[in-house]
Amino acid sequence: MTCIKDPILLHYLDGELRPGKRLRVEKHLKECTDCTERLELMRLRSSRIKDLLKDLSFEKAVRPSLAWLSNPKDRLPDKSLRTWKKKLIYGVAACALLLVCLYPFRHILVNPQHQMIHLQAMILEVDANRPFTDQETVITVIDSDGNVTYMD
Amino acid sequence: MAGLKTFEEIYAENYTKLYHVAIRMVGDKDNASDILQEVFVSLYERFNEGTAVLYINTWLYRATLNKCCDYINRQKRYLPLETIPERLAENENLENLEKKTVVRQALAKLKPKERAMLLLYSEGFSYKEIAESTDIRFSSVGKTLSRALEKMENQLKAQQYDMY
Repeated sequence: MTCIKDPILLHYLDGELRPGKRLRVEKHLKECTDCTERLELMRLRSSRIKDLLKDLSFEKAVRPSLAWLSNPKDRLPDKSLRTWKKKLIYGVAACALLLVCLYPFRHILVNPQHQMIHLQAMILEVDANRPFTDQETVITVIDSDGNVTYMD
Repeated sequence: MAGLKTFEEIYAENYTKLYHVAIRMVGDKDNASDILQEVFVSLYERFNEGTAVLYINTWLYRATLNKCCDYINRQKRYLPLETIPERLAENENLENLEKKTVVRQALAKLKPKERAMLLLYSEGFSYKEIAESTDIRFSSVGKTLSRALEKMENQLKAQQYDMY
């Protein structure tokens, strides 16, 4: 015997089940105490929450006159428009800030030929039994034209 | 003007009902009034354009709830119902006021769509009307509603509110 799922029980409780399905649920409820208990709990929960939400009274609604219909100036501006304008202002401000931050680096950005590509390969031969200060270091620099320079 | 008269009737008949739903959704009377004005302006413009609105009540509820959801999403946070200034109405005791605060806080913890569904459910809407007003598939109403009721109960319990 498969028990009835909560949404179906809620449908049954609210009278939203088709007649055929309702009969099947009623038949099952006669045989299953678990589902009957669950149904009672749901009935209680549903009616209690409905009551609580109904009791949630706010101040009485004051219906404004329809004067704004004849005078469109009295209408509120469309909120989506307000949001759109706000986004535009923020966007322009962000662009201005970015330009100010990039200004010190303008010569790099404008003259890309000043850029230097530095590829480095390092081979170290170290004698572990002698102090570093006593060992000789030779640095070899090869530029993009293939010129080799040694530095002791 | 026959059109305007019809519009006035619709406005008078529906404003209060929609206001109560909107204020429970957004928790602020000024924003609820703004939302309703936008909804009725939109309806009025449809009337002027000659666009047919078949089921006015459903259209009004759907437009109001959609605008409420948009408002809540724009705020990027759930409804701060707890910030509503509380006032003691006549013949209202402190215990009742506390109860309402707890219910508002629990409601504020739900997703906008769940909140909308529960409010319509408490107003006695059928599943078909709930589906049409909230743009949820009819077959999903029972499932979503059942989940929303359970969530609401859990939220109330989390605030040590004895429901039964």
